[in-house]
Amino acid sequence: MTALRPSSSSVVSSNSSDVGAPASVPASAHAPVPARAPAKFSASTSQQIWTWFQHHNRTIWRTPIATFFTIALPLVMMVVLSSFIDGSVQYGSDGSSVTFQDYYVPAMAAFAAASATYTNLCVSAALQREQGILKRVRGTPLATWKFFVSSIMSAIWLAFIGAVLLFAVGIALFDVSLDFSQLGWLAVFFAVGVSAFAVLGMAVSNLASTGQAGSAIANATILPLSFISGLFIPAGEIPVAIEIIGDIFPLKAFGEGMRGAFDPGLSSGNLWNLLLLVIWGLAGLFFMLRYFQWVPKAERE
Amino acid sequence: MSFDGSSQNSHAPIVAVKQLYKRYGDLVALKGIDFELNRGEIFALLGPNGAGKSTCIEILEGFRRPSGGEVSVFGCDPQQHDQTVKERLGFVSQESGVELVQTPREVLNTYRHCYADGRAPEELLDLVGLSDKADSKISRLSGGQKRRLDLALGLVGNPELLFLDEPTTGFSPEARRESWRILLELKQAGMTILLTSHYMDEVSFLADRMAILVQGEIAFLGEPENLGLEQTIVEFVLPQGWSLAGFEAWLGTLPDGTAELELPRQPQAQPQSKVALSTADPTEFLYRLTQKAKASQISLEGLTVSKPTLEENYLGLIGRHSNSSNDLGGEDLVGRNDLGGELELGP
Repeated sequence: MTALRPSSSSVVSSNSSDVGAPASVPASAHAPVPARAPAKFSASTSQQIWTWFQHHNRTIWRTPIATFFTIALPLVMMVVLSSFIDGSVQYGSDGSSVTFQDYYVPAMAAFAAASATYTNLCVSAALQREQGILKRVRGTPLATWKFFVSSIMSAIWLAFIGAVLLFAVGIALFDVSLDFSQLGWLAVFFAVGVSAFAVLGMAVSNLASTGQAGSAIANATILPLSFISGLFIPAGEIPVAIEIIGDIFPLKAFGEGMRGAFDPGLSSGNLWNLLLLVIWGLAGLFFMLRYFQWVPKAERE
Repeated sequence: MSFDGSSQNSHAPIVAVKQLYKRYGDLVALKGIDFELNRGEIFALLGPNGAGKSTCIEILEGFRRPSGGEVSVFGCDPQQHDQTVKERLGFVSQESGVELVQTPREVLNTYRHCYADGRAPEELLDLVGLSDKADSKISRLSGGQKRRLDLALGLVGNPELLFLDEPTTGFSPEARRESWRILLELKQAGMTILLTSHYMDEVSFLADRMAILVQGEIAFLGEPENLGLEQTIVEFVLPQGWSLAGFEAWLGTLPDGTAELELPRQPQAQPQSKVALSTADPTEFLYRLTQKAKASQISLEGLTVSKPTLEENYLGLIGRHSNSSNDLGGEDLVGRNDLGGELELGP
């Protein structure tokens, strides 16, 4: 293998005389290093997270179905519905004058952002569990929080691209009236909302051992909730019981927060909506960290 | 490859399994097994499907919880998922997947970043012979190529200890040879390897020591070449018109498990069969047989005396264990492998 330095060779040979140890591997802690040993490759925490962030992004962007449902679907719905529904109808809160487009563009942006985080992570974590990718990650010394952070970052990045795209198309095509004084709130709601939906997606994925099950669970929760939270259709006269359900779950709060910059009448509910999102986010964080499953149920008995 | 001074405690076993017991509901998968891995050796868990090999490895990886007994890897309980243990451990499991939309170079680079001393993707791809596929989508690799990528991923952290769960299942003969060459190279560089297999030839080629697992019990523990060493196989064609029962009545006792085998039938000839038996005392048996045959002027056509191959011993051992307890049903063992009933093996 490599020649030992004369000064230390006698020490090494006396220490490594035990049977079975390969002769070329010195057992001494003072073993000389090979003369031209390459420097150890060791990544810092930020390098690790950045590498995994890029890794997840490659998977997302090379899986067309994921990007279709999170970005293309809300975009198409927004463009089609906003093109033929009469813009003069009033949809604002408290009867204030908000056009359908002012209502629908931020609502679809909210739906895209929730899909990119909640649905995307619920499905992809379940799929990674099914395929044994999570098992492989768990076998490495990578700290689990770094894996969670990188997964969530890549979902938020997808949500950000989706929301920006929807707003840009909405502003370009439909003459929506964005209130720039509300941009700060919009940014806060986006950041808190996508973080909450991301951890909730990871937490809910624990119920699923396959990608299909993850997809079923995610869609069975977010689609009905989108209807009663007024994301797909403006919430008109709906039964009180359903309205209460919408008030409890975080999607309505997120939608109203995102619409606030287009509908000044909503701003009075900002703090309460934000608090609701934070509570849901913390609950999701707890369940994600406490119960995250790295292998399917059958493999962890 | 160096151990960076972490081998001071080189007498302690790297992996210790004591009275490991595992049940799934009513099924007992492991019935209290014991073995240890010493530094620098290749140790094989050999056994048929369902014997408990993967269960054992998954417990050592920390994914399954033992129902009883103790396991330790580098002195730690695998359930703790200790980071410093994982720095020193690599595994190639049957169930761990990889993103098919990425390339081998990309995933190796990602996983390299998980370790304090990650190996370069190019070096690993070269080692497993995937350099020309470095930038192909993994979905376009063949099954054997994906398995080699699995091996590369198992080695990316430059581990001291490697777990390999059926590393060559589904490989072509050439690909298996190539994998064996790589594993022997790794051993020479000082790596300790625990592998599971259901191929005796693989284990006898690679392993320094092995444990044969049959239905959750260790049926043999030791060096592969010592398996069934004391047995000798005697075969000859039954004289025309004799049955095995008649032959036994004539000769006296035959060893347990003696089998009568149909010979391929010649055209226009009477059916003939062969006696095959396994004995631990061939001198005494052959003396009795030939003395009596000579006295009766019977010619023993096709008389051969041979040592069983490791494969035959292995299959015989499994056959005996499967017959003694009925729940597995046992595979149909043909030819000389039926002789397992006579084998006296065990730790």
